[in-house]
Parts: sequence; C-alpha cells; structure tokens
Amino acid sequence: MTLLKTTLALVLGASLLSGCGSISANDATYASLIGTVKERVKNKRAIRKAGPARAPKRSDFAGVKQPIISAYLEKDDLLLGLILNDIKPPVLSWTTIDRVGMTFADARLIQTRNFRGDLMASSQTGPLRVGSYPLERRTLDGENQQIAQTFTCTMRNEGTETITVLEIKHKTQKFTEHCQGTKDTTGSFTNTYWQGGDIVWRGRHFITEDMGYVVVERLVK
Amino acid sequence: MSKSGTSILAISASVAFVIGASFTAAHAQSSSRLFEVLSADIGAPFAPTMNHYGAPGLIDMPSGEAMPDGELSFSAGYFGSTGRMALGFQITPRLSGTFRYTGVDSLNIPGSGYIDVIYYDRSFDLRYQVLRESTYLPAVTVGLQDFLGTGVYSGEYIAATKNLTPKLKVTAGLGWGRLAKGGTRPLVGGTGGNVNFDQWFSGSPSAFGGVEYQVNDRLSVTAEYSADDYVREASNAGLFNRKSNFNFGAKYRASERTTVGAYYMYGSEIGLSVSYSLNPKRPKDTPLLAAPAPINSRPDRARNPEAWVTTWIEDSEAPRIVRDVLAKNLTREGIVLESLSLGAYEAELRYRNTRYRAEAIAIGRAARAMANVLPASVETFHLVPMERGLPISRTSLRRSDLEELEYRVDGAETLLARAVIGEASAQPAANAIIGEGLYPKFTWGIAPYVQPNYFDPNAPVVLDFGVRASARYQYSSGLSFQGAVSKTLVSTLGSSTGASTSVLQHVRTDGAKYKRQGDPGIDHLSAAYYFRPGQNLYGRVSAGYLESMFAGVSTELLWKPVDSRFALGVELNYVAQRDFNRLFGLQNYRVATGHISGYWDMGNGFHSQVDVGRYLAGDYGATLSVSREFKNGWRVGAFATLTNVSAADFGEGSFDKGIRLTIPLEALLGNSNKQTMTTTLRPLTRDGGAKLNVEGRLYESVRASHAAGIQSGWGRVWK
Repeated sequence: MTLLKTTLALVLGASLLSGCGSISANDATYASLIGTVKERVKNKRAIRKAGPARAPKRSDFAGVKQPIISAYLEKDDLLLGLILNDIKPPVLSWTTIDRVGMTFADARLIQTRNFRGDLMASSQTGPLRVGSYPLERRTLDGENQQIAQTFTCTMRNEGTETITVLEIKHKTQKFTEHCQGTKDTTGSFTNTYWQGGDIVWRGRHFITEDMGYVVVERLVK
Repeated sequence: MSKSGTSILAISASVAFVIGASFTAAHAQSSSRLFEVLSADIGAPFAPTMNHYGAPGLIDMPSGEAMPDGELSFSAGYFGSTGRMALGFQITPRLSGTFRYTGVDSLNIPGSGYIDVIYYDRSFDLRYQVLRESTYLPAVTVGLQDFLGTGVYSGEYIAATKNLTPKLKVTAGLGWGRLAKGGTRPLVGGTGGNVNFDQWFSGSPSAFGGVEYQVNDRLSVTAEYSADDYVREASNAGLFNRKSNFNFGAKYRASERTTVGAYYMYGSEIGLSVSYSLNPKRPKDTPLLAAPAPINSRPDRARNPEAWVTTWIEDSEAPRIVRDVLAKNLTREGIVLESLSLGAYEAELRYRNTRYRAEAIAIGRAARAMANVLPASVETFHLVPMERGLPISRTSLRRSDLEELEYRVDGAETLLARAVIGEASAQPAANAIIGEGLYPKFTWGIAPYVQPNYFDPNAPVVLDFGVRASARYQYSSGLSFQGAVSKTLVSTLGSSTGASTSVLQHVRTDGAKYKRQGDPGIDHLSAAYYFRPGQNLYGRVSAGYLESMFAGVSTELLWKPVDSRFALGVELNYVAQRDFNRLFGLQNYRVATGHISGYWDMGNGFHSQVDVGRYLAGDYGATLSVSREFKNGWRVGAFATLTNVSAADFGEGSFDKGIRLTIPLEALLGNSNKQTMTTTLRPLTRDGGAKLNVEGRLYESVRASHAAGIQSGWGRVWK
C-alpha cells in the first residue's frame, strides 16, 4: 500500500508539473516531492516497527525534575508529551521534541503550534475566577488568513473533585468556563479546569474547530 | 529557562521513550496527509452537481446554480459514443468557466479532418448567475456554451433552479442553438476559435427542465427533459438512437469530493459520469509547521545595565561570532544567512528563505532568531529577503515589539502596524559580513519525471516518463550556471509523427521531432545573472541554451516599487532555434523577440498581465493574462494572445489561448514548502503567439516578498 501511495504521489505530482510542452516547475520541485514521499515512507516504517505507543507510567518519571505535561487530542486519539521551554509569567510554553507547541497563560491555552488547525493566539484573562469576561481569539482560515473571534465567557465553580493524574490523586476545585460567540463569531465551547493549590493538574481546553479539545495533565510539577 | 534541547538531555531515558512515542504518533498524524486534501468537506448536503458538459446541472442540461466560490471541478462522462472531460472553475461567486475536451467516435463532420475516427473537440463555456436563490425567487444563470470553438456544442441558455424543500429542487430553462429543438447551427468555418457573437441567442429557443430529489446524504435521483436533439450524432451520423427527450439518472456521492452518476438517456443509452471537486479556499488542513523558538527576553536594563553596553562592537571578532551563531539558528528554520550588518543599535540581516511560501513566516522566524542571538543593545532589526541574489524588500521591526507581542492576542496585527516595509538597498552596508561557505556552490541531482502533452489532434494525451540529471553552479549570490539533460524511458508518443503543417516558422509545432531526435538531449544549459540597476529596478541577463527549442540571450528589466500594485517590465531576447537532436547545434532560424509587460495586482486575489511585443515566429501582438490567486498559493488563470498572424495562418484554434493552474506543493504534502507546480493547458499548441520559455523571470521572483505579498501572509508571522 505504501508503495502504491508513493507511486501515486509521484505520478500525481509529476503529471501536474507540465503540460503542452511548457515546463513550469524546476528540479527543486521534483526533489521536494520525492524527498517528502521518501520521508513519509520512512516514518511509516518506523511507526510499524515501533508498534503501538505505550501509555506512560508514574515509574517512567522517577527522578525526573523537569516539568512535564501530557496532552491528549480527543479528535485524533493522540497522546503527546511536552516539556517546558519558555517561562514568561504568567505564560508557560511547552514543546514536544518534534516541536509541537502549546502555550498557556494562567493555565489557560493561548497558543498552539504545529497542529493542523492552530490556535494562533488568545487573550489572557488572568487566574481562574468565577465571573464573566470577554475573550478574543485568533485562528487561520483555509487561505491562512487570520480570523478574529470574540466571545463572552462565564466561569463557574463546580465544587471539589478528586482526580487521578498518572497514578497520583489530587484534591481539586473544578471550574467550567463556557464561552459564547459574540458579534460575528458563531458557536461556543466549554473549557474545564481542575485546580489543586496553585496548579491546574488537569484542563480540557478547546483548540479550534478542526482540532477539537485537548486534555492536558501536569505529570511532573 | 533552558531551551528544549537541554531539557531533553536532562530527562531520563524512560521518559524520553514516552515522549518519543508521542513524537512518532504525531508524525503519523501528518503522514497520511498526502491525499487528505482530496477529501475535504464540500459543504451543503444537496450541493449542485455537474452535468455531462462539466457545468452545474441536471444530467445533460444546465441548472441555475453556481458552485461555491473558488471551486475547481474535474468531470468526465460517456454516453452514446460521446466522451467528455471538463475542467470547471468558479471564478467569482457568480461567474464560472469551463474548458471541455470531447471525443465522439466516428462523428464525420465535413471539413473537420476527422473521418471515421474519433472526432476531438475543445470548447469553452462561461456562466453568470444573475440572480441568487432567495425565499421566493430561484437562482437564475445565463450561460454561453462553446462560445469559442468550432461551434459543435454552441448554445446559450437561461436556467432557473429553486429548492422547494431541503430534498427537492426543480430546474426550468430556455435554450438556444444546440440547446434548442433541432438546433444545429452552422459550424464556425475555417479554423474555429473565434467568438461567435452573431449566433448568440439566435433562432427559436426551446424549453428544458428537470427535477432532482435527494434520497439520502449520498444518493440523489434526477429526471430531466432535454432540449438537445443530438442532430449531428443521432440523426446525421446514427451514433445512437434518440428515442426520447427524457433522461433519468442517479448520482452518488462516493466521497465528500467525488460524485459518480449512472443514467438512462434519450430512451436508448446508458450514460456514466464521475466528477471530483476541490476548493482552494477550504483545504482540509493548513500545512504543518514546527513550533518556533520562543524569544529570549533581554534582561531589565535598569537592574542589569552591563548587559546593555555597546563596547562589544569594538571587538573585531564579535560580529563574526554573532553571525556564526545566528546562521546556525537560521539554518534550523530553513533560512540561509546571506549577510549580516551589525551596529550597536541596529542590524540588517539579508537572508534566503528556502522553506516558507509566505514570506511573513520567514520574517517572523528570522526576527526571533535575531532576538535570541544579538546583543541586548541592538533594538532595530532590518530583514531583507533575497531571491536569486536580488534584495527584494526591507522589513524593519523593533525588538521590544517582538518581546511585547509574542504572546499577545493582537500580536500579528499590532506588529504589522509597527513594522516598516520599504525598499532594500542594492548592496549591503559596508560593514556587512557575508555568510560563510555559501559561494561558490555546486549542486546536482538525478530525478525521474513525467511530462504529459495534451490535446494534440492526433494524440490527445502523450506521456513521457524519463529521468533527468541536473546541475547548478552558483558562483555568487546573483550569478549562476545551470543545466539539465533528460532521457525518455517510456513514451506513449507511439507512431504519431506529429509532422507540423504550420505555414509559420515551426517554433513550437515540431515538438514531436524534438522528442524523437533529441533523446537524450540537453533541456537547458545556461548562465543567469541578476542585479539591481537602480531604485525599484531589477535586472536579469540569461544566456545559453535557454530551453529545449531555443538558445541565445535573454535580458529583462523590471520596475516594481515595493508598495506598488503596478509593475512594468521589458524583455528583449535574441535567439536561434536549436537542432532537433537537442545537443549544441543551431538551425538557421534567428529571431529578435521580446515584450513590454504591464502587471497589475487588481485586489481580491485577481492579477492581470499584458505583454505587447514580438513573438518567436516573428509575429507582433499582445497577450492578456488574468488569474485568480488564493492567499494560500493556489492560482487559476487564463490567457489569450492575438497577433498579426491571420487565423488561417495560425491554423486550428485561430489564436493562442489556454488555462494555467498552479498548486502549492505544501497543499499536497502538508509541510512547509515554497515549491509550486504549474500546468498550462492549451487547446492546441501552434506557432503563432509563442513566447520564449526562459526560467526565472523577474516579476514572479520579486512580488511575493514585496509589501502586498508580505502582508497577505502576515497572519502567520508568529507561526
């Protein structure tokens, strides 16, 4: 199947390269096409060889001092491990080793990078607190043009809840944040946060319509 | 805070394994991307579908509907010895065009040259939706079918379509010409290709119509009353027995992009169709792009004044050290440092963007890299993208703005408001240090290729499969020598001689001779020099074997202010026709050819270009090109050339015209990529109105990095 797809890709790409004797693409285009297809084949082989990803265990993190979070993309059924790579309070930025990035301000998602539908930016609304406030977001449309969205959000305290994050129980306060589109923005989303002490141990954040929700857990403080 | 590389080293092997597994899975997410673009959502469940002519419609008749703005559709159908393929494009929300290629088995049309063989016909349609559907009114479209060909399918129509319920819609229309009962207009005599104004809406119209019912999300059924009598095919040629005016069929949406149909047509025939559509405005995904490095904030000046001193500038080694570290960081982002001019308070980086189609991304990443490397006192960054050795523009940013806006919701628009985009000087500053080890540089490669040629009257599709070896010697930033040789391995050219009957100099119609005798052969072997002769001016000189059929000298001068939507260019070439063996010999034909070109970025994605001058066959005339360019790089355009060559001398088609489609490679591959693929579809390749194919013309080389190009991609400056 891989060989078939590779061949199809080459034929599809190459057949688009010229017509009527007018060669409009250069050799770099061919090289790019072939290089990408080779990389895909290599990645697929590596995935097949590695087998299914193993869920992390608490023992994996014995002795680890670096802060680590996990991010579970619900739509893609994909688990990522991220390490901290920038601190500008109240902003914390995290990345995987292949540079998938997520940035939070006061534990709320304000940017993603290297997802197929990124949240380009979101306004910072401060620490979790009950009440209503405006929220602005920036995403990209199909032509990669920035879209400005405006919401009115309402935060509610849902009471206490004990959650388990990677085999450790945390007593938390649960908050839900419902954001409703205003002006030209349609739709709504609801984020959920489980805060224990100063740390939000778990958060379920809306990224974009394309990406859906991500559940983020603080594995190592 | 340490950067990710350090952090990873500090993590235990077991954790690295967990993260590594996620890393692999993340790539799995992108690896299936190659064909996902082909299956994006097309929107409304009862969307318009294509008829047998490749236009929105019922089965054989058109409807009043329009496709979504920007929709590209490819369709093919067959019934009653007639096969049709069509490329359709919704040019604006109301205006659409279709190019259609038809083959009819043994349709013997006197004077066509096709007797007892497949009759091939190329035709164009235009449709305009004069009324959009509303609560009480139907959508109404006026269409011109085959208005530019020999007229075999020439007809006009007004069609109205109304959705009565979410599952039921009806269409009624009036047709003229081909779409009227008994409508066989006299064919446009001679070579075709002329606009048949005098025939539009002439003769008595006939009514047509139909009903479509959506059975479920995928399946719809259609019944139509056709006004097309198929006089030439049924009555005259007896290709099928037309017993009825009624057609019945079902269309099935096999995927979100693909629709297949089966029909019982004209009381005797089974028909089949398939259509595939995509919309550049709504790709399934945006290209994946690795997260940029965060910006290192400078220490507080009041608390840490020693970090802001400028004495480092007195150290003669400091600029080189900075350059080397910066070059390394830029390389990681696919950016090549061409030169760095460093002062105590400002710096100018000249760079080559090898990865990002949107220049704004390169600007954003280069600025981040500068912020992370340059001494704290350097506050202003000037970023100069270089293309083919030409400094194209200069974007100036304040470092404090980068630090302030990195995580702000309005970071992109505020940064643009504070940025200054202007003219770049022809040369870097006197104190600039050049990127190390860039020139001279030799690169080479060997790659397979597929080259299709379409619409030759004797061989509609010819495919050449082969291998090409290419090499490039970049002597300096603006001077390069390059060449390529190719060898065909498999060709479907078959026995077709492709002997040209053109009465003009055979500047393009001897393609088959070049293929047969020039294999293997030199595709091109030339030198090119790019330079900036003055403010707003760009120059190019190319010499050598410029393309497969011509060798000589090509010169070009372009005037294009950075912030202007207009540009003017002059191109002068003196070339000789190459031998058919595509080696070093030349034929006796010599020609001075060239054009004055005007370029206009019309706004809303539309671009136009007018070239006036002398063409390869020595004919004088002008070419008008109009294209719609989507901000993500997709481009669909059309062109037409009229010269002083008569229609009779030009041959079939009367004048040169065609369609051009450009696809950004990143849309197919899902990663950041500057490369594009362009295909030009001409109904016929003739000798009149032919231009030299010289690589690296100036306008397309510079405009993406001028103000309009940078601004159109600015939404991704922080990406």
